[in-house]
Amino acid sequence: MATREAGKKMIMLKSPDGMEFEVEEAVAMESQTIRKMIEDDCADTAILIPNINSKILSRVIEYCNKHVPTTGATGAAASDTVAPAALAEDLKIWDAEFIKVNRATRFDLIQAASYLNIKGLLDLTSQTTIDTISDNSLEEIRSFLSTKNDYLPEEEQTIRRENQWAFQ
Amino acid sequence: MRGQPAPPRECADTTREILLKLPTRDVTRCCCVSRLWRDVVADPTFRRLHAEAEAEADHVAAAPEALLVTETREHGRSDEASFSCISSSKPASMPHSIVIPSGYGLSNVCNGLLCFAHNTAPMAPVLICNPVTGETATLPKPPPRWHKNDPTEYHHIALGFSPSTKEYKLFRFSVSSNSDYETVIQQSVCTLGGGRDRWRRQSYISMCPLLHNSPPVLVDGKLYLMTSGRGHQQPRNRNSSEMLVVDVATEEYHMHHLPVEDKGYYPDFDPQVKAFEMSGRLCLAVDIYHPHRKLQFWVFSPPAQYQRGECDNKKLCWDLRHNFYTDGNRCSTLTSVCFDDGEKMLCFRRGDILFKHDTRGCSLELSPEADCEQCHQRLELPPTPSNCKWNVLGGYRPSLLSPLTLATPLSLSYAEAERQQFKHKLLLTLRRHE
Repeated sequence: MATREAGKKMIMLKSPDGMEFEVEEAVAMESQTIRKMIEDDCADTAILIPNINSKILSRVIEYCNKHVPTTGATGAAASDTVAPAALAEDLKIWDAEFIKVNRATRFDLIQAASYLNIKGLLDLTSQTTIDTISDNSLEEIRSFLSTKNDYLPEEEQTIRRENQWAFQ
Repeated sequence: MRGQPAPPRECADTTREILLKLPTRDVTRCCCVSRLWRDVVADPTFRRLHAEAEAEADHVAAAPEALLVTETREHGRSDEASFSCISSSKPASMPHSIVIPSGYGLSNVCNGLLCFAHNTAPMAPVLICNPVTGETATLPKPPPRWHKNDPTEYHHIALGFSPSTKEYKLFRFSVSSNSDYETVIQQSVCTLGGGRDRWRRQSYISMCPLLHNSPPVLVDGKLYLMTSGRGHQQPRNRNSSEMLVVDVATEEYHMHHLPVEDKGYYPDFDPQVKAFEMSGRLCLAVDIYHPHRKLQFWVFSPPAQYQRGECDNKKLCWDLRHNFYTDGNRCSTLTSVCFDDGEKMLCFRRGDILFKHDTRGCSLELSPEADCEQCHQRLELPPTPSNCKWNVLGGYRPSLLSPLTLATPLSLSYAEAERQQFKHKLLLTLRRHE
């Protein structure tokens, strides 16, 4: 197991397209899926993350790096100088910038966050879609998601009628 | 755009993750987006996860709604109950209606589930249903009654949910009179869904019987039942009317005084009290006869901690919200009351007249008078056909929870087993004669 700094254990994550990412164990453990693997001792060498390509995986690691709770020497120093509220505000701005991606990437991120079980990232990536669904008509939802309406006209009529109570 | 279709980015997993974070109403709307979305929502696993996420309050819980329940009884046809949402600006029927066994009536509403129980037989199994999905389930049979053959005994059935423990429990309150001044309430409780079919029982003495016509109301993990101060044999001898409060999580009970003095009620009748949920709190509509005919609305704040044996101070618990003067001679009795949280509309029904009172703009400052002018709207209801019964329930929170998850796997009831045995023997006998 590689050790870069004293007390910081490193973990190797591999994407299916052959890229390898070396991350701190604490960062990787932001993912509940990886945390479980580590705790169950299934992660001796490198962990292969299936279904998530290197582009998405690197973004996920970027997110976890930013969101890992600051503990230890550096963390204490940071919280001495910056108030927690300001830190949270900073994180919010960073999140807003992070999520400025195209629709396809956002869906890939949702899928990755779901597989890796990273609650914060899942909430962040799905929030835009949730807002869109809550506030817009069916047609607007479809165009936002680029989803094709594959119902036959009479089928759609039936399902619209059945679920009419949910339309306000 | 032909020839270069966009790669299918949305898959069932992503869709599921998003839909899990939405309230039931939005999820239902999303069925219409595409076949994939419809199939995700129809999946029983998704429905279970969604109900769990909702119970965990992962997303903001939707405001309670008002639900119209219509029960129809027609000769030659099974009894039926159908449902309509009336909270939205465009009221619409729910897609499913359910068959209810004959003799059953609506007992109470609990989150997204409705509970139907037999009107008189305390041993009949309880039926629960989800109006969104149209699913029904039969719950474990109530335990045998304690006192045999007490003709005055009656019962209330209620489905309860505790937000703190996330448990659903079925309650049965059997009421029998001990003497003119004493009533025995037997409380039987069963936790649902855990596969355990065990009833816990306790009984307590109340000074007053539970009101027949006032079904239990569930608000924020507590069941509320009204009592009448009138004795069984000498109705004019009154004790003070009280309210029974049962905590769903702990199953402990407490008695509370009602906010109105008993001399305010008409002496020959039970107190005209209707309980309902108003923005997450219990509210009572009390029809007062003396000294003036009035309709008062009181909001209840349960004390943070009950002290053993201590009589509650009613002034601390009750706030008078509205006080309507009514024309005593021309008003029929209060039939039902509900509160529409979306529109902040207080609705109550007297016979064929529906009153609507817009509480927006009403000051929430508590004043002992709290007098309101007459109600904002007075609407005449269409006459109800004789084979039809309707009721508007507040406190309904649509959910995708399947009632089947609360039902234990079907076991044969004693009567069913006996019937099967009889049929088997009968067939054997008939064959022997051939």
